Amino acid sequence: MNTFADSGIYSPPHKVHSTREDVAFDTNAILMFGHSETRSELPHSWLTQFSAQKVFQITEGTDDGQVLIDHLPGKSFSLRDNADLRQWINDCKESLIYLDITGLGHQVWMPLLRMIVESGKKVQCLYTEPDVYTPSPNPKPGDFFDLSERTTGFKPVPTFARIPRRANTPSLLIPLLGYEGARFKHLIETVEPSDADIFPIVGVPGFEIDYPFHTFEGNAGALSSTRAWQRVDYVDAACPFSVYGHIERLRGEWPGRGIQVATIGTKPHALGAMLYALRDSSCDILYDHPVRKPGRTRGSGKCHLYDISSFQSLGQ
Amino acid sequence: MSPNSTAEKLEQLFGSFRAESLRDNIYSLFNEPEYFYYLEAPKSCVLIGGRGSGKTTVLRCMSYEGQAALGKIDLLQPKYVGLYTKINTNTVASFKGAELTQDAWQRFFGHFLNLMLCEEAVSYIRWLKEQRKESQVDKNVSYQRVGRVLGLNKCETLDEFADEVENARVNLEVFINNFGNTKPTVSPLQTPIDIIMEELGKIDGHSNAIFFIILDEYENFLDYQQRLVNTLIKHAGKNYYFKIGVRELGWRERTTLNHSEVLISPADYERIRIEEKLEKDFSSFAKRVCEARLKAADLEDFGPPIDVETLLPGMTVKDEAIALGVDRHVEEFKSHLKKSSKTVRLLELHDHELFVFQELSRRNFNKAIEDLDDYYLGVKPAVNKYENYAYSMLFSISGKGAKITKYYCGHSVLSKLTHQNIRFYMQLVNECIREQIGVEKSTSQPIDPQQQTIAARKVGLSYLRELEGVSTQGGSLAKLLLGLGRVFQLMASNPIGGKPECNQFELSEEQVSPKEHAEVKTLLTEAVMHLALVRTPGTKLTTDSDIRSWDYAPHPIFAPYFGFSHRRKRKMKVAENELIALTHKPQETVRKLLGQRAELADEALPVQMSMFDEYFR
Repeated sequence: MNTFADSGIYSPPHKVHSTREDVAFDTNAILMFGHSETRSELPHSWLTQFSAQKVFQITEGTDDGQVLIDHLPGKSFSLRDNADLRQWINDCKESLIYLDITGLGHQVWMPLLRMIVESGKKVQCLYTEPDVYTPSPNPKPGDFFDLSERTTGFKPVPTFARIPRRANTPSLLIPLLGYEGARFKHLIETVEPSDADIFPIVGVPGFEIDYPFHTFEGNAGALSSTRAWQRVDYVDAACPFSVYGHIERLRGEWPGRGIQVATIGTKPHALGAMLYALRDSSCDILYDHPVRKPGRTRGSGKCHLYDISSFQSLGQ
Repeated sequence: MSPNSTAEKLEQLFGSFRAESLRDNIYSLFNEPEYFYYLEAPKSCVLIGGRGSGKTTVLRCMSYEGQAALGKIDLLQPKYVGLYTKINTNTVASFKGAELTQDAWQRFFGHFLNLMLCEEAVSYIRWLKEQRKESQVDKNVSYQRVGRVLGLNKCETLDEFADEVENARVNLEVFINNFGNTKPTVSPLQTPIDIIMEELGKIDGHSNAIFFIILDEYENFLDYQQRLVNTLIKHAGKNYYFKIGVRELGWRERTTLNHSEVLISPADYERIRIEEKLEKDFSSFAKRVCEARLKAADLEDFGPPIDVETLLPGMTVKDEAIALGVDRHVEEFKSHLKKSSKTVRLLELHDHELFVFQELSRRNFNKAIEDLDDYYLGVKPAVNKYENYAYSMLFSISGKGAKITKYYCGHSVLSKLTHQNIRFYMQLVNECIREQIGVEKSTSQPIDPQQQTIAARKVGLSYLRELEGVSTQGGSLAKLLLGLGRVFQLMASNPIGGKPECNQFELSEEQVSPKEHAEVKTLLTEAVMHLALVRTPGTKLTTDSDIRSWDYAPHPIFAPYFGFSHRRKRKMKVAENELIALTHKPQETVRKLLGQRAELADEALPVQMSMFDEYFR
């Protein structure tokens, strides 16, 4: 019983299941997913709820920004030259799309979700927590899990590129922190924000009770050197809608400033940031494209179901 | 003033080492380096310097806002106008992908650069109108002419022009997010910049002004983008020049878009390497910068500031040996010397001199006495022997587990630790003062060598941990440094039987696969670029790209943390695959590099490194 959702305090469109197997899907829907770890494997119970023709596995192509869909062999879809992909989404007969983001990189699920949202179809996202993170064989202070081999550097997520206008005042930087302090440090090094403009977010409650402490320990160096620890805020690690609300609040407090949100923490947080960026053109998503280590997590934990369409209709 | 508020004040002045964090203070605290004169010349310049070498500070001080804050700009007839832009990694990385050809990307990126410069020009004119309180300063500027060459809609006033530039920016943004959308009108390369600059020259009082297009963090450009900007640099020169700020090895492409055309210094640009320009003068430059900040700190009742050399006293080798406890090592030897009238005169020698010869003879007193006799009489080989080993033997005096195994103190030594890097120097002074405040002493009193050493260690550790974030290779850089640091630390603390003061390496001739070679090349390039390592030309003819022709050493800022010499003296050979192995099999590779002395790797880590116990297990 760690998260708000565990305690029955949901942001309205958020359901939590103890395991992936427990999710019950609506009929007249399709499922899109990617597979990279144990927790993103499709459970048997899902396959009994969808016919094989309604399950689409997405894999990344060899070129950046290209994806392959298993039912459409030989065809590569560009996420940036995306008329074909939008057409394919529009042509789906089903009115509801389930997008399981657990096994997909941000650079894939963010543009996909954007296209689904913009197509007017209903969409719900799934995310499954890992059972455990794999510890590092050579741990250093603040670096205890073996999560990423390296990053390939900051570059825009397809469809979220911004050409910022010349600003007299610098943007706010909102890092959504995870365990990997090196990624936060690299963010600071790349963006070079004023210390006072950094507003970090730590996932509290975390997926597990001890996770926020690991986050603090992993990021202690950069939090301390930039003094950003003074402005840390806490948002439920599993709730994208709370992140959305938090960014919206900061936007209200700092009118006229650009916002850069760095999605270097949990996927639900990244989802919240992405949803916010869809609504606010002054919000820039920063992502460093980590190369995930094989075996970085083991097993699978709770499965979250986020009703994106319901959430979006709340603001309309 | 309480110690806390003093620390806070100092932290504001010294603790914000990045130009970005100083905001407007950057100008009031600016100290002009000697090379500033070259930068102000009407010529394109490439300013090369590591992280923290002061590039951004200098370049921002050349901007019109900087010149105004420094009170150096004549608003009615400026000598030069600097338009400063920091290259944003995330933005320039948008201009790449398999969807378009290289040629197409070049055209879109060229258009982006033109728009970016227009935005800068608009900001300048708006700023100037405000400063001069004249709305007609641009009455002779033809915005329509600039707009036409950029493919914009008709615009006659500054505001109309600014709106059109903004629309063009949005159109370009929409396009790079979905190439299926209508292609925006793209402006050609070079001509629009020539025209923008010509029109800027028509502002009242600007007919003789030179315009500097200042591009900071040039390393962030992709390779083809560097070639494109090189083309602009090559053909600049009517009334504008480029001032480029780039990290060491960050200027990867030297040709223009025409691959056979290379930018040549000094014909096309002036190459300014901060490290070289400051080499002779760094110590006094650092002193000026620090003293200005100490003065600005206005420490009131906490004690008036004193000059940096008095604040940071150094030590001679012999004084340091005493402080490290050399006397207890030579007690027995001295008793032995007292026993004979032939050797009693040797007691006149310093304990450190006795210690060096005692240790070099591996505690064979008779052999040590033979050498000491020669030394006493000034026999050249013996004197040379002492001089060769005097410094390196300091590392073995205090013994394992001591809190301080070597002192790093004095303005001169601390400046050398920075390798001409002003940010490191500020960090060192800041940390020293924090230590001083921590022991409740005033900043008017000299800071004890022990406090200076602890401060220098903290700065080394802080940068070691920061290294993880400096680039996409940051994790590997930190691990490489930890491995090398451990090897050199073990060699330093065990000088007998090994190379004294060995803290450099060169690559051995062993061949590795092309993939491994490429990996090592990237690792070493990044390490030099981000100040994990420093490199000096080796014995062979050197080129930038041949990694085998250079000698490498950990940046001296790490010397106090690991406990090896900050002076560049001797080197060892390391195979390329060993460098890679250091990043993922640390302990095993440290043993391998120590060769016949592999057992040293089992020694406990020095106290200050104990946090890495598990890493080296």
